[in-house]
Amino acid sequence: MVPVKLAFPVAADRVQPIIRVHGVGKTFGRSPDAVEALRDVSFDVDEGEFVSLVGPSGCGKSTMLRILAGIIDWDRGEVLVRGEDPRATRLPVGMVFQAPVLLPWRTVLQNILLPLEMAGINHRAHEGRARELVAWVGLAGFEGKRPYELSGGMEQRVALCRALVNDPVLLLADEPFGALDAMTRDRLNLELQRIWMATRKTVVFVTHSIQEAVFLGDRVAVMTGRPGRVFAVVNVGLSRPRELAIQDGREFGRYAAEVRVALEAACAG
Amino acid sequence: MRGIEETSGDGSPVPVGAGGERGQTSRITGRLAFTGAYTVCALASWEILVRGLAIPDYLLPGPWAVFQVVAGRFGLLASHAVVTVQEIVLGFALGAGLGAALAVVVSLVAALRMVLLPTLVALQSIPKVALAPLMVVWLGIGPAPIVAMAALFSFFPVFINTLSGLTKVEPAMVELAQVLRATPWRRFRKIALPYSLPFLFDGMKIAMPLSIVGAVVGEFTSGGRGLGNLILVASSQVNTPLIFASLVAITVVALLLFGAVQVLERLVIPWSVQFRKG
Repeated sequence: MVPVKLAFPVAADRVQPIIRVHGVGKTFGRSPDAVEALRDVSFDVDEGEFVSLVGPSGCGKSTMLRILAGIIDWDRGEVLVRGEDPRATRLPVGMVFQAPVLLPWRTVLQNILLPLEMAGINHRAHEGRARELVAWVGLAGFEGKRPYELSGGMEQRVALCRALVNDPVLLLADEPFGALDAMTRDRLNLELQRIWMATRKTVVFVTHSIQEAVFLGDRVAVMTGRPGRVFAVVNVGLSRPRELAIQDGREFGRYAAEVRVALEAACAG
Repeated sequence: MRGIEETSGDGSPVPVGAGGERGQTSRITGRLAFTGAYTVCALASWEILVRGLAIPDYLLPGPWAVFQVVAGRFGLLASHAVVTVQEIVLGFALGAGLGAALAVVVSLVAALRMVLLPTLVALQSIPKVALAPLMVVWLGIGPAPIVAMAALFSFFPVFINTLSGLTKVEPAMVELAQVLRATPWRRFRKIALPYSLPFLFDGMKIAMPLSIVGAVVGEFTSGGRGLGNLILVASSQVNTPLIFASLVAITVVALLLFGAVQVLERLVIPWSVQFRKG
């Protein structure tokens, strides 16, 4: 494991990364109560890449994700999504939160179609796509159900469909499976991998689980405690599709250990 | 692919919160039986007390005497009740409608909130009963001041409840709308407005009994017809059994109107009651 200083040299022939974060700092509030959430955060994410973001709680992972989603400002540095300022861009971004955040008055299908309605797109024309997504995550037959009729795992699948329905350039996930039981979580991780392999969406996945980060990610970025910055990046060389059983294997264990050591070092210093 | 956490062995969905239909039915029957037995006992002791102590009717009529008036003068009571119900429904619709509409306006225009909210709170602290004579001065004798009183009583609870629904949308839903880059109008239409509906109905459930108070007080002061007026007339004749019969009629009216709000709630926001259960 090499703690890499993260400013990837961009080779001339390489495609422009979809996400470019350089020297980003963010402080909440004013002194003396100011909390520095992020300091000098830099990383790039390539088109179609799956990047896991791990770090101790309160390290600014979620803040970074919200900056990428364009819903909060940053104070210093540069953030570009497809070369545009995420706050100003009209590029659709999909986000999955820790809670499903489904609207209780809407059915499963209506919840999934919400992003299109909010964008003023004729959602009826896209109903077929929404139905496909529902079937794809194994919820066929539940289109007309309301959120209270679903289990936590099912709700989070609906949230995933909602995040994908407007064909986003970027899928952001903020500990989406953190509140679920271990078995449901495993299954949803498999499903997310399947969806990712089929769509090749660029994914930034925040988690506090090393297992989950290694299992899903092409790369795992390890952040330090507050103020957060990217301390190291572990390239996960496991082939895909990854089965749940690989988590018991030696290779997986090596990557997980690498992340853990980085995490411990990040917390220590 | 469907997970075992949400399906039973045969693949059919497990009903959420299934507690067994039959167990629930028998529990409801049991509760009804208890309420019935309790009511009968209470009425019986009232009757026994009145007869045993030989209390005259003009002081306290027994339930049987009251029942006789209710049955014997049903037409009279019903005709007054219809007038009162009309006044309440009209006043409630006006007050609640105005309350909800003003809540929407205030939630959309932040500047108004700073001006209008303190004003309304100040007005709200005037005891509204004391306004009844003023309504008569302004609106004359007849149903108008009564409707105004019913409206006055129902306005504030609906206004304040709806406003808190509109302005206290769950932060996660606000964040979702931000990620979706929704325009303020669509945020309002698709999130804040439906989100506030259960609050609106809660406000209406508080407002309905209050608007009945308003209507009865209005009838006391402005005369005309209606159950409040019937009570006034009966009291001037020291016809206490008729007063009690009118009270029974008002109670029935109140229960029916409150029930109507609940039925409306179930029809308009069927997701809400279930939602709260979870």
